[in-house]
Amino acid sequence: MSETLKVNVPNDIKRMTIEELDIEIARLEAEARRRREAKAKEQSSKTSVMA
Amino acid sequence: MRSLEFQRYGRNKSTLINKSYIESGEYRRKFDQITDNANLARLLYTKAKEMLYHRSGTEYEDMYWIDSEKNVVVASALNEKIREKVVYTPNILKAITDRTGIIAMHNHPHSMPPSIEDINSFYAHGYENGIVICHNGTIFIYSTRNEVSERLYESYYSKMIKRGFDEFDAQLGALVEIGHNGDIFIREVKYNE
Repeated sequence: MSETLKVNVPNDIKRMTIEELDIEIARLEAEARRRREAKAKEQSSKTSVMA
Repeated sequence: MRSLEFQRYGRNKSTLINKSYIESGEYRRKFDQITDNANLARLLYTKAKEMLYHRSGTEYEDMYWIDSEKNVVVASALNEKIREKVVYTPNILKAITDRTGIIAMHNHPHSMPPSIEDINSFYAHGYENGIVICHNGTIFIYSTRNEVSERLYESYYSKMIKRGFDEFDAQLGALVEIGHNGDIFIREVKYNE
């Protein structure tokens, strides 16, 4: 665990405009959504096998 | 050497605890908002106060791992020597691995929100709940169902900084934004009369 007094942001993110950040956020949120769906599918198939 | 003495004797004014508030009924009753289990609330409150008094005026973190089903402390880290960090020793890992219902509670000397490291450590260790005890009397409770991309957090944070939010609000806001997708749950524990 660690408290952060100031977030250390990579230079490429630091240089982005708000509009560019919105695009990057949308991309990363979509990746996160795909990972969640894959995880849910994997857990669901495990439950089916056990049944 | 001077800065080490400064830390040892608890004289960092910006991290001194708010003693009168910590000793107030209002602060005590916040712990009743965390759990309905009176014994657990009392244990969390006791340990929170111990870590606050122990680390007041320093930049060091204490941590307790509490079994919320048995209402006992299963591990603690009270002698950290690296600022704003807790090291998971083999003994701590042995005590918390393959165990359910663990609440991980630690202090934030500068009263900042849970960090992205806190969030992902929560996920990595499979905790039930995470609690951050701030030196100014603020308490955060948090959890996550998935590992969170640090880049996503940094992007939300940067957007908030560019919009003029201060460091505290940008950090907290980034977590709240990520929480909209259902992964992170975070709230400040408020006192309800």
